[in-house]
Amino acid sequence: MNDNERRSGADDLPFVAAKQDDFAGAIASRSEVSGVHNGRGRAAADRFRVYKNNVIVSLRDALRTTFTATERLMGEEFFGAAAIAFAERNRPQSPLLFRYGEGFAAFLGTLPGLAEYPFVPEVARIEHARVQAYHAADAPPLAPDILSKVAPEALGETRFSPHPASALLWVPKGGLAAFQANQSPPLPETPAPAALITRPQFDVVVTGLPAPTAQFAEKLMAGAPLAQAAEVDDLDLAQGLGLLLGAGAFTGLVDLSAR
Amino acid sequence: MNQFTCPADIPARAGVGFKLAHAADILAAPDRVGFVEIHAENFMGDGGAPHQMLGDVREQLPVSLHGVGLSIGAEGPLDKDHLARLVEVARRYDPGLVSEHLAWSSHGGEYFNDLLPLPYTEGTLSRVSDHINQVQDALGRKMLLENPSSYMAFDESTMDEIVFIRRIVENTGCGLILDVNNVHVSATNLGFTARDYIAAFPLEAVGEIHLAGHAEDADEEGEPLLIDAHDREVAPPVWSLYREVLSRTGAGVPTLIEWDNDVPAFDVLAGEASRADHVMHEVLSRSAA
Repeated sequence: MNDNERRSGADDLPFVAAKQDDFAGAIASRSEVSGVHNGRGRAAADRFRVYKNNVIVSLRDALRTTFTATERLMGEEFFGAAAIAFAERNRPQSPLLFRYGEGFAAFLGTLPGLAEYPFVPEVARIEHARVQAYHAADAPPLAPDILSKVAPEALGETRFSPHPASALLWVPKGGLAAFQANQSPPLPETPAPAALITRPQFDVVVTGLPAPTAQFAEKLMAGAPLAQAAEVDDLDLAQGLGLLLGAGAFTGLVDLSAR
Repeated sequence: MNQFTCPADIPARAGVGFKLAHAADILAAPDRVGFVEIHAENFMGDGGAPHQMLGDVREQLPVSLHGVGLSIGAEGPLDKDHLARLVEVARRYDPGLVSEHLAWSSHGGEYFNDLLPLPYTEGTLSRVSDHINQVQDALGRKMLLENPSSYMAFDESTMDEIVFIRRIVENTGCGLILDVNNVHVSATNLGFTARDYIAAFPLEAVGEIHLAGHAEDADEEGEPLLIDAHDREVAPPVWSLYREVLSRTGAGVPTLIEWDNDVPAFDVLAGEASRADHVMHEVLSRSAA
């Protein structure tokens, strides 16, 4: 293509750079824009690529910052291509980039190249939850011995307020161990079907839970009273409750003063 | 308002962009830099380590608050929620300066995570001025607006960047950040003379200078195309423009070393800051003599 062809072509482009709808559309569509020049009189649709590239690369890098273990598992090249494909279809909804990538794990789950590695999207879910916990509001975790202060007849009706950083994820395909093995330095692997995310102070902790404890935790975190939450087959109540309290999953008791 | 023992005012010295990884090094030797600058969006989470570390640093140093996501140049209205978050960060850290960019980054509910350009017309002038007035009203103080780095220019523009910026200052009473690297990048990419730009720039409104490194590329025609990459040392022509600015202001200006990608050890950043301090001292003592 010679210069004249490119110039006349640029005038016909559907996207006018000065209109932000068009500018945004051209970034999404891999098209070029009309109405720009290089300061010296030459039409400069090619210069528009700098902005397009900046947008895509910066979003890829934002995902790379959140999903470090996922990238280790996938390799830099595959992860980079997947991140760009995701970023082209899913822009951040806000300038708070640590929120970005909520749908990334589900997107990875649709990639044929990962079909044999179902733990990879699980790792991505853990990592996104980890970053949300890192930025969550500060709150003191409930003291592990708190229940000794509750009257025995009130125990069954006791309800817990989840800590702002707490989250429970079901990861039955091996995501927790893969997450642990791909930390730097690697953490001891504790395979479990569920991962509890907590942040007792400033460091985020990811704890494996056996299925009964996870079902129990899920109900407690949703506000169920203790006796009702404990109606789970094979639950070791004392051990499960000790584990949740020790990890800092809760920040308070609901209605304690009312009793 | 949090009460910090360290005053808010930013001294006429060099500072660095604050990275969490550098917090311990900064706290061990806060005197190496005159201030830190934070990207507002990095401190818009509810809690956790970022706020803890910045609170500790703020006890030792003044903070310049630099927004990157408000999209002041957007065609649409300002994001009220985002503006409220900016006001909250300002309330929390009592910054000596608050600044944003002459650019847009959000459109149609999507955030593009880049500083995107706008044409310079009566229409965009009026819109940007309105947005700056809203920001200043919400903050209850003057903000600084930063000149962009440009890779292309718009056919639609009816005035040059300096006229546009001067008229914004007239319309809003805002101050300015003069990003000297951006001047060099834009001048190279668009074929104007950086020294002329600086000679025409309303230096009396400048409250802060930015210095940064850029990457070198070429466009389709093989013409040099500099990218505002913030990933390396400040380049020699930018240092020389910085001297030019200081010899014109004849007074010290808070100067930020920006280094946001491939971030080096704090020692390297502090070294760049001390070089800027040295240049500032040298130029000002010469012009005083």
